[in-house]
Amino acid sequence: MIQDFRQSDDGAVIETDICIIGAGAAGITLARALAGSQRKVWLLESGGLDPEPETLALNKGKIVGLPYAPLDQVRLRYFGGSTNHWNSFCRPLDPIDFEKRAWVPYSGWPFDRAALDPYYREAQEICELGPYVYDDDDILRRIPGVAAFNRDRVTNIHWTIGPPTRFGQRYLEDLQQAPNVDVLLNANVVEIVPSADGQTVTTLRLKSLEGKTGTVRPKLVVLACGGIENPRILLASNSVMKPGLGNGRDLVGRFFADHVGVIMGYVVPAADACQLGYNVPASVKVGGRESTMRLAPALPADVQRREQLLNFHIMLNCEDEHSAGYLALRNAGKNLVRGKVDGMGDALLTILDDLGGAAGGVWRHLNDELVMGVEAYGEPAPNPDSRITLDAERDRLGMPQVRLDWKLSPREKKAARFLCRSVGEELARLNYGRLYIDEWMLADDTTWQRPHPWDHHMGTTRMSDDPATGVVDANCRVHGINNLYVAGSSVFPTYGAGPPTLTIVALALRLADHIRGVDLTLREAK
Amino acid sequence: MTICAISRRRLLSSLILTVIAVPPTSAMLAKRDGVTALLPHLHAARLIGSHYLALVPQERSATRLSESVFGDIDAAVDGPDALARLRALVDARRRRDFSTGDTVILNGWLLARTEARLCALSTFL
Repeated sequence: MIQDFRQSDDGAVIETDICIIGAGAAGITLARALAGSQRKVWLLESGGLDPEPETLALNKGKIVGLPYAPLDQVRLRYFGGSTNHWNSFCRPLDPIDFEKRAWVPYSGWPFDRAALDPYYREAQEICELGPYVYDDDDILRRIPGVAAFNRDRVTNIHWTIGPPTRFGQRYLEDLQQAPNVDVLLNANVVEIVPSADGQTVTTLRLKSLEGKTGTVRPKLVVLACGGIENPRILLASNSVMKPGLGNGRDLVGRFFADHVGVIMGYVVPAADACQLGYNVPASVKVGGRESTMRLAPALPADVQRREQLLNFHIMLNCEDEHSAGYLALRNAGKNLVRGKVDGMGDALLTILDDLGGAAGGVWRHLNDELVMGVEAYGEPAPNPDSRITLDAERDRLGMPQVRLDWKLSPREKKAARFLCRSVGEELARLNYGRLYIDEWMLADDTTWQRPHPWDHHMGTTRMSDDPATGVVDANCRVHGINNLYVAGSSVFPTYGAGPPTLTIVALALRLADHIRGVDLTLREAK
Repeated sequence: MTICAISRRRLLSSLILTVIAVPPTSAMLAKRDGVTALLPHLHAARLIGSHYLALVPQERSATRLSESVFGDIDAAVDGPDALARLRALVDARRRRDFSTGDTVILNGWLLARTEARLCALSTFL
């Protein structure tokens, strides 16, 4: 059943077995997986079925580190969460991403890729991506225009591209039909309240934008609000545990990570280079089913080990210009034609900041010349100083806003530069073109020019078997709290180069399996 | 990126992408003639060569550069198709450089060591 908290009686109390906070990819997957079980499930969503400005504004926050897009624009706060605007590029994490790597401090998951494989397979179906096949040579050979890279240096990988699946629209009916699941819209959790000893969650305090209040008394809670809101709610739940819930070791909010994209240069392509399969997605039939794939050159795991590098991919895009200045100029021009002036100030600043790029792009456009833009995309190193904290400013519900201090290290730059050079060498060897690499990328330092975050918010409630290094355990349960779990990419301890949603969904399915085995009567007795 | 870099790009692309595509003329067996035949855009080649020598000053020697580029292939380039064979040998060396990562970055451009040395050699012509 779908209900609206705004229509409830003020002070309403909900008793339930399981309460899932947040109806994005993780929360909806979990609720669907628990549908039909004997457990009563409530799925709480801050927004409604459609976006509303007042609710979206609750996501506002401050940026104090590297430049980042406004926090109320990089995620969505209504049923379906950020799947309402994702582009559905998917890929599982690589086996090496789960390993503890000596050259990547804080790296490693408590389990290996094989533990997630069956869930990845199911997640692939949920995300409507077609057959679960990755990095299979036979499949890659079917993609037109795959380059014959020397596999000891550069490997070909692919992302699978979905419809994209809007989880809210696609799975709403499933939840409506589920007899044991209720969805409560416009219900904001403003505090998770534990028992006096801090070891058991007893109550969730609800509030609507109109001032209505309510309470949920769950036996088990799953927090599934994304990599920024998860730490925000835990840190703000401090009426009993002053540092916030699960934050006895000052880890909640730390290790904030996002996949970093950076335009590193371009390739002057030979005549047929733009026909390579890297530029546009290809439709490939696998086992009688269609799958849409996009190729990317990547660092092989052996090279990562040998050179002590993070995991990186490269996107190659044939276009008339790759520079930020020209792209801003081109977009601003299109917007002006459409009569849109929003964001024109930012566009102007970008153009002025990269005037040479803008002018070069115009020149190339007029001369019908193409370049192959080289954009590195990859894994950030776990960094405890990259973090989410609470700000003094509060939102309309009285919740502290967040401050985002996003940081990168020289490791990301080193890996991106190494892969870029290797790809440039291989493209030249194969006579596909010549690489120009932006000079700032050559410096072995921490400077970044226009790093492009991919809005994949990860790591802020990281997973570890050791409470000293993680907020949740291998089952996603918050250390020290017996009935509080976290779902979503905030539990990723290391992040890989693949987009996170497939892993988010796989982990939610794994969590559902675990929760089915939890004896809730014991929690009732407590 | 700057306007200046675009200009370099044009120079470099015209140089490098045509370096192996010089139309055969008369056989040029002397090293000097071989270099000029392999580098139709001599001015651009010298510019690149100057950058290379600034980066690797210890190679600022025509003899040493000549040895590096042509040292072990002199005997192979004799006869009427000498230039074609010379091109093929240099191309093979260029591919080997890219394959093994023996490359240099000059003003942002990724070049095979052999290409850079060939350009450097042209500064002595």
